[in-house]
This record gives sequence, C-alpha cells and structure tokens, in this order.
Amino acid sequence: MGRLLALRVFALLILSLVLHVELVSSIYANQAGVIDWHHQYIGTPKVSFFHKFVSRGAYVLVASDRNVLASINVRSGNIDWRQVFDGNEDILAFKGYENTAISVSRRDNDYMVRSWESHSGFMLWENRIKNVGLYKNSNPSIENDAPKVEVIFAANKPNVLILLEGSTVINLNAIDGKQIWRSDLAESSTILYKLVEFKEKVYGVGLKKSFSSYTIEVVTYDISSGILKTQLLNSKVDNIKDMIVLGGSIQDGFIIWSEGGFIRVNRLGTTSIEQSSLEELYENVIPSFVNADGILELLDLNIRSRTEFLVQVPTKKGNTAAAFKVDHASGRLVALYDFEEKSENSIYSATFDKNERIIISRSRVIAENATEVDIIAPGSGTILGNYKIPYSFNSYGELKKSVLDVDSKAMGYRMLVTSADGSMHFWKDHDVVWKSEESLAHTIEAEFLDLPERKLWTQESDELAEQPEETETISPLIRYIRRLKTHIEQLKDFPAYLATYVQRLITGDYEAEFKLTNKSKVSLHRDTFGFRKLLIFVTRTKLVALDTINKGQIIWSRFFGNDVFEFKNIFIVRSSTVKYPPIVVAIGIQKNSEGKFVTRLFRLNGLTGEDFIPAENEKSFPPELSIPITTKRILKLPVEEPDERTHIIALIDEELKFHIYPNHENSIKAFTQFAPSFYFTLSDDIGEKALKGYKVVKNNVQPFDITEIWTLNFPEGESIAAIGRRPPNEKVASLGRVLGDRSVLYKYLNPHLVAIATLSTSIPTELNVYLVDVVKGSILHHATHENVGSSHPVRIAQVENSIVYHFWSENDNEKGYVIVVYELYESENKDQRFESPVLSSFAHERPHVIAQAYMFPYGINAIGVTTTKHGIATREFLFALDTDQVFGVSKRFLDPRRPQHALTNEDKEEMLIPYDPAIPDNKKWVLSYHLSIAGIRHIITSPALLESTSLVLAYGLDLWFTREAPSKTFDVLSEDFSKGTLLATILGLILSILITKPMVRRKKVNARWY
Amino acid sequence: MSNKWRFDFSNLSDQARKYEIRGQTYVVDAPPPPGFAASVPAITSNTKGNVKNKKDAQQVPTEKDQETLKIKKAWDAALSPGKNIPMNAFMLWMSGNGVQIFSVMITGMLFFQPIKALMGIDSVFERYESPKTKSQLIWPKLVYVILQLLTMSLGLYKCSSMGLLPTASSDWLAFMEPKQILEHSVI
Repeated sequence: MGRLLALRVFALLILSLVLHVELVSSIYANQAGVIDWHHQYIGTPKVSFFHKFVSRGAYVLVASDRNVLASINVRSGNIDWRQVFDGNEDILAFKGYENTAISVSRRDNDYMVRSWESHSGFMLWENRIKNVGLYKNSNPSIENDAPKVEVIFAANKPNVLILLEGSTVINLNAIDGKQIWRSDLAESSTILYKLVEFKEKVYGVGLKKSFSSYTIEVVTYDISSGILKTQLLNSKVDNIKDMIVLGGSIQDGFIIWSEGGFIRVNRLGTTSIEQSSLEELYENVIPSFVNADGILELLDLNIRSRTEFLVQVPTKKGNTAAAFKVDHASGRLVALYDFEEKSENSIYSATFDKNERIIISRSRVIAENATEVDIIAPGSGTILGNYKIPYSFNSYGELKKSVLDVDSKAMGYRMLVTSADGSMHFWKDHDVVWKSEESLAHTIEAEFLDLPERKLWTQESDELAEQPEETETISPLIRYIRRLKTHIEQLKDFPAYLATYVQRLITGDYEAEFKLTNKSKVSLHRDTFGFRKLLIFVTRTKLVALDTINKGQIIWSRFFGNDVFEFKNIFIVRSSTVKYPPIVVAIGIQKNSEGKFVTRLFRLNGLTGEDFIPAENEKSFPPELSIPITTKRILKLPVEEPDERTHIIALIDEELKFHIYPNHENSIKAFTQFAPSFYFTLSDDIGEKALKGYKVVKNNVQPFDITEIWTLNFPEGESIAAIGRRPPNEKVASLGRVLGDRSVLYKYLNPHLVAIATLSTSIPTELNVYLVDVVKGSILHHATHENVGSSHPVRIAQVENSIVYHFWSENDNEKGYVIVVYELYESENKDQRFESPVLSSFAHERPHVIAQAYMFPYGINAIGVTTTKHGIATREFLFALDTDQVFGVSKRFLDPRRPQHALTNEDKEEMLIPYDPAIPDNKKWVLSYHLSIAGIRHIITSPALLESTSLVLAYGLDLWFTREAPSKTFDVLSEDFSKGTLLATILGLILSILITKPMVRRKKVNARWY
Repeated sequence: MSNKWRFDFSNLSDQARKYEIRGQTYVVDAPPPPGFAASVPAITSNTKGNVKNKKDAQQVPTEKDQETLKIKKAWDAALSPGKNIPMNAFMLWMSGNGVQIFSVMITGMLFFQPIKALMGIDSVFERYESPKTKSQLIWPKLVYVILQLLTMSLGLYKCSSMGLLPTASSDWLAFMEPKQILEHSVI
C-alpha cells in the first residue's frame, strides 16, 4: 500500500512535469536511424530474374506475391528501387526487356501493362487493357494450374506480345506501349497457355477440351497484322503440366508433351510429330531412370529461346532428373545429361554463360544445417562446381525455387533461392552473400516480449537450477556463501561494467553494451531503461523473433511449414517478469491426412524459440498439441492456471464448444472459478451484421458449452466496418481529468466498452458508431454520420476513456478525411461520479460522451496509441498514413474539450488548445521523417521502463521500429546536456572548499585572540 | 584617572571574599556589575562622568513600578508580530499568485518565522517574568500566539491562492482507488 501511495505521488509529480512540456517533438537529421530502424521487404518472389543491360552490371528484378516490383542489388541485398502496388492489384507477369522491364497486373477486371526503366524503377508507359476474357468460358480444372499471363518479346521488332486470360493476345509497341493489334479468341473451349514467336509469326499454344482429355491447339498470328489461323494437333494431353513449349525468337519453336508411353515433339508451324518411347528412355538412354517409380514431369527451364528442358521422375529412394534438348535441325529429342538419383528433393535452375553454353544447377537440402549445390554443364557433362552452403532447415524449410546466374566478371555462380518460408537467399559459390527474411512481409501478428533482468538470468543458472530436494537440505550459511560466491563471480564483470558506464556517460549511448561485438553473442537480458525487448512475429508458417536494438537483428526463427498450414495467433502466456523463461503459444491450423482441419498449438520458450518443456508437470504441458477442431475464435483469458502460471487460452470451435488450453485439472479448476464472471463475443468481424454475446455454461467437463446471452442486430443494411480494440496492457494513471478550476471530471473506464462502426449499404452511405458494452450487449452511445465515403476504410482506436475514429466525409462543405474523438465521463457535472467502489456492467450507469470532429490531412491505414509504463505521459495517437509515413498526433490536439471560444483563464490553466477545425499537417509530427514505410497494417506499442518512452512497431510489408516520447524525454538528461560542465563545477567546488577550509579555520582562531 | 569603568578596591566592605590561588590569598570585594541594583550602593564619585550614574541610582524604581513596567513591555513584545502583518501582506501581494521561487520563498518564510517564534516564546517573555508577573503574562503570551498564528494563516491564504492546498477534489484524485471490475470480457 505504501508503495502504491509513493507511486501515485510520483505519478502526480510527473504529471505536473509533463503538462509543462512542449508539444512538438521531432528529431534532428543526425538522429535519423540512431534509435529507429527500418527493414524493407518485398514479399516472397513470384517472378525473379537476373537482369543485365550493358555496363550497369547485373541486378535481380523481382515481382512478389505482396504485389511489389523491386530491383535488388546482388552484392548487398539492398533494394535499389521498389514499386509497391495496391493490395488488390496482383502482379501476374514481369519480364526484362533490354533496359526496361514489363509488368502485367490485374486491377478490378482490367489488365495493366506497364514498362519500367530497369535501373531506376521509373515507369515509362502504361496501357490499361479492358474487356479481356469476355467470350471466355473456360474449364476451371485446367485453368487453375496454368499461368494466366504470358509475355514475350518479338525477335526483330520492338514488340511485346502478351497473352491474357488464355484467350486474348495483344501486341504492344515496347517503346511507347501503343497497341498494334489485339486478337480475342472467340472460340470458347480453347485456352491458350504459351506464346512463341519466330519468323514473323506468333504461335499461341493452348488446349482444347475433347471428351476425356485435351487436344493441343496452335493459333498462329501474323506479327504485323494479327490475322490468325488455328490448327489442331493430333494429340491427347491430360494435364497442362504434361506440355511445355520451347524455342522461338531466332530459332524454331517446339511443343513437347508426354502422351501415353511417349514424349512427343512438334515443330511449331508444322503438323509433323516426332516421338521417343519412354521405355527406351528408362532402359537405355538414362541409367538412373531405371528406378523410376511414378509419372515423369517436364520442367521448363525458362531460359529464353533455348530448347533444353528437364525431365524429372520420382524414384523409390527419392528422385532423379535428366536434361534433354530438342535438336533444331531434326526436331528430335537428344538426351544431354543424367542427374543421377538423390534421396532429397531437388530444385533446378539454368542459365548460360558467355559462350552460350547451358549451365544447370541442382540444389537440395542435405542436412539440418547445409544445402548442396551442383553446377553442371550438361552439354559437355562436366561438373563445374559442387558447393556445400550453410542453411538452417529449421528456420527456412525446403528450397522452393532458384535462379542461377553466371557472374562473368568474378567467374562464379550465383543463385537467388526462395525457401518454403518465403525468404530469399543469395548464394555465390560456397558463400551466403545475403539473405532476406521475406516471410516478415506476411506477418499476421506481432507481440512485444519483455526480456528478463540480468540478475534473474544469472541467478537462474545459480540458485534456481538446484533440485527441490537440494533446496530443502541446504543450510542458510551455505546458501549465504553460495550467494557470496555469485557476487564475487559477478565482480568479474565489474571492469566491463565500469567501462560501459563511463562510455555511456560520455557518449550518452545507452545501447552501447548491447552492440554486437564479434567476440560473443550478447546474452538476452533487459537493459537499464527497458528499451530492449524481443519482437515476436508470426507469419503464415513461421515464427521470427527480432531484437528491438541492434537494428532488429533476428534472434531466432522457426519454420513450421511441415506442421502448420497457416498460423492464426500468437500469445505470450507468461512474461519474463517472473523467474522462469517467458512462454509463447502459437496457434495454427493444418489439414490432416483425412482432409479435416486440425488446430495445432505450440508452446515455445520465447527467448530461444525451442519447445518449452517444464521441469515438472510435463504431461500437462505438452510442447505440441493437436485438437481436431476448426477454431472460430481464440481468446487469451485474463486468468492463469496455478501450476506454471501461464494464461489460459480458450478455443471456440465451429460447433460453439469452448475448449481451454492447457487442458488439465488445475487449469480447468481455475477456469471454472473464473467462468461465472466471464463474457465474450463471437462473430465480431468486419462485414458481420450482428454481434452476439456468450457465456460459458458451468459443466466442469471439457469442452464447455456456451450459451448465447444477447444478440445485437444492427439495422437493416448495416455491417461492421471497424472495431475498436484497446491496447493490451493499458495503464490508467488518473481516474479523472482535472479542469482549470481544480475540479474533476471522472473518466468512464469501462473495460467492456467497445466502439463499433458500421457502414450502411444505402446511398448516400451512413456511418454509425455504437459504443457497446459487450457484457450485457447494450448500446451506451450511438452516433450517425451521414454521407460517408463507403470505399474508404473506417479506423477506430480506443484507449482509456477516449475513442478516435477516422473516415471519409462526402459532404459538400467538408469533403475530406474526418477524425472524431470521443471522451467518456461518468457525469456531465464536475466532481460527480458513480458512488460505487465496484464497476459492474449491469448497473444502470451510462457515460456522458463529449465529442469533437476535425478534418484530417491524410487517409490512414492503421491507428496506434503510445503506451507508457504508468500511463502518465500524454498519449499520442500514431497514424499510418497512406503516404507510407507514421504521423503522431498528441492527445492534446485530439481533445474534445478544446474550447471553441477565446481561451478563458480556466482553459489556460487546463492548458487547452483552442479548437481548430483541421488537424494541422505539421511535418514535425511525421515520426518516420523521410522514410517510406510501405504497407503498414498495424502499429503496436509497448512501454519501456522509462515513463516518458514508448516502443513503437509498425508492420505490414515493411517493419519500422522506433522509440517515441510523446511528452519528450523528461526523465532522461538530454543529449546536449553538458555533463562535463556539471562535473567540472562539482570538482571546482570541492577544490575551492579544500583550499578555503584551512583559511577560514585559521581566520576563526585568530579572531578569538583579539 | 577616574572614570565610570573604574572601581575603587580600597574601601573593602564586609562582604569581602577570599580566594586562594596558587598558595596566595586574594581578597576580592568587586562590586556587582552596573545595573545590579540590589547590591552594594553605587560608588560615589566626584567626577562629572558619574553624574548620570548617580541619577539612575537615585531613581531606583520601586518593585511595584518595575512589575507594571514589565507587563507593559511584555505587551509590547506580544503585539510586535502584529505590526509585521501588513508588511507581509503587502509582500505577498507583490509576489503574485504564480508558483515561482520568490513567492514560494516568501510563503515559506511566513510559515517558518511564526513556528520559530512560537518555539522561542519562553525566551521572549523570560525577562518579563517574575514570580508576581508570571500569572499576568498569560495574556500577552496568548496574544503573541494568536498574532503568530494570524501570520501563519496569511501564509495559508497565500498557499490556497497559489493552489497549493489540497482542498479541491482533484488533489485527491491520485490517491483514489480504481473501481473493482466485477465482470471480465474478451473481445
């Protein structure tokens, strides 16, 4: 109690300090990148290739599944340029052409063809192609696994030929993007897959549905006029995978398909078909095919117009492959090289060197920590390289795709490899040149994890490691000696500590002790000010932990691709503040062998990423658990089980059964005690038309039943557009708001209050904001905004007793983004409150709501709120702007008490800012200075140990971390504080005291004599 | 060579005292210090300088007069803090209502001075004290205390006008317990 009181007095003191602090804070140019860090990501590559054009050297051009085009520097892995498309504009094709690269993307129902200057990323031209696929009546079974778009370049003309939706072929001028001709297939049963161009003719190769399989159809276009003729080949193909098309450009093109027991080859433009028997192939030509045990697969190496290709066959022990070539003159298949049988899955890529010699790489993971790459020139059969490259299988999973390139200057082979978790690796010969954790571009959720104190860390290995029996037998004296020993042990660190202390004093760099030295890995412990935390990210199939300092270095990562189909949530069920390591529970879904969904839970040590197995109760806390349910919702309950002191997690399945995890006796007991006061909602997702409240029925057996206790149906045509969610560890410093005359407005602090915004389908659209108490399901406040832009998302943030929401207003006199702030008080009158020591939702207490609206200069993608240790520092709302910046607005600007009249003395005393209809577009409020942080979807915050400071993480595509002090760093000496002067003054004073003291004494003694 | 600082040791009185220091015997008959009325009559002297002395000696007040005088003086002492009040008030008014170092110092002074004075109340009235006046001194003391308290209340008033007194509900806000929440919900 005494501590609490002291804390409050302290809080009061700080509050008074805070209120005197300036509002605007920004950083100086030399502070950029010192406390913040920015990771740029592009997502998992869909298309990637080495692009070389004259003297500029090579770079990797990538089009990713996050709809980003990027150019990556091969030496550093840095992004030279990046173009981020809208989330709903999928990139379908990307191909380099001389000094440009052509991208095809689909937006709404139209296709966008754009040309980019490949070294700068500037767009040269754009052509929007409409009405594609109008006549199409495709068969979805083959459409699914086919490339939708094919882009080729004509050999002797600056023409780009694009195949769209398997039916439309467009010829564009590559210089300016003008359309030369367009041809739509009127015939509906044919789907084109491939384009090949040679000798002034363009061949579209497709499949036409026949009775049980498909027939190959070739559509021939004249390159200048686009006039077409179609021709059917006498063929039977079961699947698009069984057919590849090679060649073109300056040479002839060929269609290769497997049919029956033969591989057949057709020279395009003719009807002649050459064939080779598979039996022959298996028995005589390729020795390793003898063990074949499955259907062979044709692999297109995608090397421009070359006619080499691979045939891969699974064997009993693994798989094998062989390289083939279509001989131009004869049009026959020629076997080039047998890759031999290997037990691991292999991926292949090919390129050719300056002598036009084809080179193929075969990469496979050979051990937990290594991959092997073979570089082979199949023409001559020579092995050019065999490299073992360090690779963590646990972190990245299988290899998925590789792109090979010959570094002609340095004479080496380099490869861009994409792994199963989505990350990119760049290898050169034996070395990993760089890698990029692109899985973070797919982050689903992120959490801050507090690190343990150093003290606990050493004690853990010292005292806490002892067995319980030992603990009982140890005498206090021995314990004391042991403790003493620990301290002596710690004394060893003292010189280092002193050194860092002095260094810190001089440089003011508080992270100095954590800066990575080459010597050893820095142990994971908290720093003095609590700036160091772990960031745990859960991506689709992977968990990644980053350090908040050291520029976001990866501490551990773990790939679950084989166990998890997709992660849904991550929870920190036990924090590090206790003596034991923090525990993280990651929950994902997986399809089991019967095709049913299974929910999988993994219990990990948050500091290492390893499975967490407790010393006792091992059976009650399995590190992995599968529950055969499809979860509808997953909740972290505010109750702990007594054994391991971890939070209980609830899973609600599709049949509305309530499962708890961990599922053992004591946790069920803890839960049943808690259950009577527990309420939750389901179906509170975006787009829902109603909100339902539930309660667990008391029946001591797992799974529990739940019962619906209320339903809130929104009016006809309204559906949920946004839900306000409070920051998880919300600390409220003051229960009321002090006014200018020193009276108090008491805050309405109901934790069950949720702000829900709905948009109506009517025109003009209406935005309704409901403040709902989710315990009893009643609406405590309701507001309507008419004429709202329905295509702009609504965002809500909720903190303490305030709610902020942002939308687009279509009203004529106030067209633009509007931000509204609510504050909820217990009463309209000062010094009046609900006289009750408890807060129950069932009491008839309604908040008094005051609100104000402002015009906001930007559209936003996410709202965050700073959180500090005690919640004393003024809060700041953090907005992820649609200009890829983070913008911080102090709560003092988003304050519904801003007076709309001239400031009175009382207003001044309350330090209110006069109302202004617009939130100023103050560039100093942009926290991310000149950085462009693409694709932010969430902003999360966490308190540091310093009251002034909040840790901020913005994630989505990029990651950006910073520390924000919304009321300035009032509890730290500023960087320009001259410690030297202070020390010199103190020293000077001590010196002068030493000198004058004898003088004064002598004088006093002398004075006695006279 | 005769002046008022000189005493005549020649005519020793019967009150001679003997001191023995280092084997020698000294006889001392020093008169009490000047102003010590009750003792030996003042030394008569023919010199001019002693005229005043003589006069004082002649006007030795009676015991009753002396007591009235003491009471009077005691009242003077008791009322003296009252004279400072207007001056203090003026100073307070000048220093303004802002919480600044100067105004805080003045306000602090207004508290410390009376407290110090009240602690030393006995020493203030000690010299007016005699067995007879003791009972009468109660009233001046009381007035003294009241006036000091008045000064202090001036300080309090100043504090309240500066907003330093925890009189408003906002001052107790930080000590208020948050409400206990009966239900739990997860959204």
